[in-house]
Amino acid sequence: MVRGISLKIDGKEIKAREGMTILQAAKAKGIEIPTLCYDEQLKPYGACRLCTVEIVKGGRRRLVASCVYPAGEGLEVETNNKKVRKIRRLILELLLPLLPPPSDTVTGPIETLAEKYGVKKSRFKAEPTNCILCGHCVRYCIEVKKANAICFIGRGTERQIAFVPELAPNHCLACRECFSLCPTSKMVDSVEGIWGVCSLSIPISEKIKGKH
Amino acid sequence: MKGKRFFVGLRMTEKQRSILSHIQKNANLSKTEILLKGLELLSEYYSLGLDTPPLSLELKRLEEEAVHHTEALKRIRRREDALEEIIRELHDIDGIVDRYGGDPNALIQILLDIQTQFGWISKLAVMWISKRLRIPFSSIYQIATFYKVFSLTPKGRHRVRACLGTACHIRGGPRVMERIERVLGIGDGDVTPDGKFGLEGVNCLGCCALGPVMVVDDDYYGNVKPAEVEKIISKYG
Repeated sequence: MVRGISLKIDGKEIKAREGMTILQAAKAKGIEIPTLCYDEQLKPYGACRLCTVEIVKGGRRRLVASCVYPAGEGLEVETNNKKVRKIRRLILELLLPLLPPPSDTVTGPIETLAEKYGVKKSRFKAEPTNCILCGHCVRYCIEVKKANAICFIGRGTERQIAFVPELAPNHCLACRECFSLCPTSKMVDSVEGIWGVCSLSIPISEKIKGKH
Repeated sequence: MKGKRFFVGLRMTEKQRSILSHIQKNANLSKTEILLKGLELLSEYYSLGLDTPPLSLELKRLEEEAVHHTEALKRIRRREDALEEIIRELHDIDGIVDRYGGDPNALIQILLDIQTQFGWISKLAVMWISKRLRIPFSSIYQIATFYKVFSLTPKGRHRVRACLGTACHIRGGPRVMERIERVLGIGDGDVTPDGKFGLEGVNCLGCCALGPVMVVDDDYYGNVKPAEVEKIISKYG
């Protein structure tokens, strides 16, 4: 028999199964928590922090990423208080400079969320890499497709996505399954649009020198 | 066959030599083709369980690597020499991997040893480690690009480092760096076309009282004036 857990989300008593994360427990009961790096077919990653919620545990308050924090007995979760909303707005404000200038044709999930939470412009300098490093493409290729044809390289400000030049030209053009997971249009641009097909074979040593 | 323990001039284990001489006896192949076949069988020798199509792709890339090695090493002209050099390098890498018992958890240590011995992590090294440790290329690239100690391009024979730390900065470090760039004709992080010098601007070297500091290989030069840079570089050929 799987042990049940009872916790409180936004004042409501919720029952969850052991092993569920707060996000899973909330989703099961129809409580909306915004996410960017979460995908059902992939292991939770905790990168975007958009799913941040405030928990009260043992009298102390803490901000956690609900997609990775396990639902615990007697946990009190607040998914939409003032602090959490402020954090969401700031995260979106930090992500906006990474996107290309707003267009009439494409409204991705980030633009939609920005509008929903009232983030119109960002105080940060524009740096349109068109990649928010959510890792959807990398994680899909590793966990689901198991081709390992795309990976993260570098760290910190230099972190970026790179196709593995030994594998990508053979695998990626035929596959393209990660394209639909990308929240910006980076994947499509990478291969077909601005960069051209040759971007698949750029040696890693060249990529790490400067952000492409 | 040249001698008891040698095959086409390479030192090999008894088993490898017997495999390769067996091929030569039973087929009318050139030295190059035998070496390529030998690579194939070396892989099987390690029971890597590879399907043939990916392996032949790897061998094709190893051939291309031979051309790159010809460029990078300069003194090697013949394609067969390049392939022999590759096999020698593979043996060295094998030695390093065996020192850690082929344990994939020792990847960083193995990469460190390769970086120390060869000065860079070549594509050949990445491919061979990937096969021996059964790790995908992406994992190796992720680690090799994460840490600054690893280089995926060959470094020059002489490593020139100019300190860009705070104390040296105040005492004219950037001017020294600029002069080095002009003398060598390359920028920060590059290698001269002849492969002699590699230039790096580095963080504080810890000898601030001697600023501005410049290091070539293991030789430290303190209180460097831009005019002295050319003389220092010329000491190394």
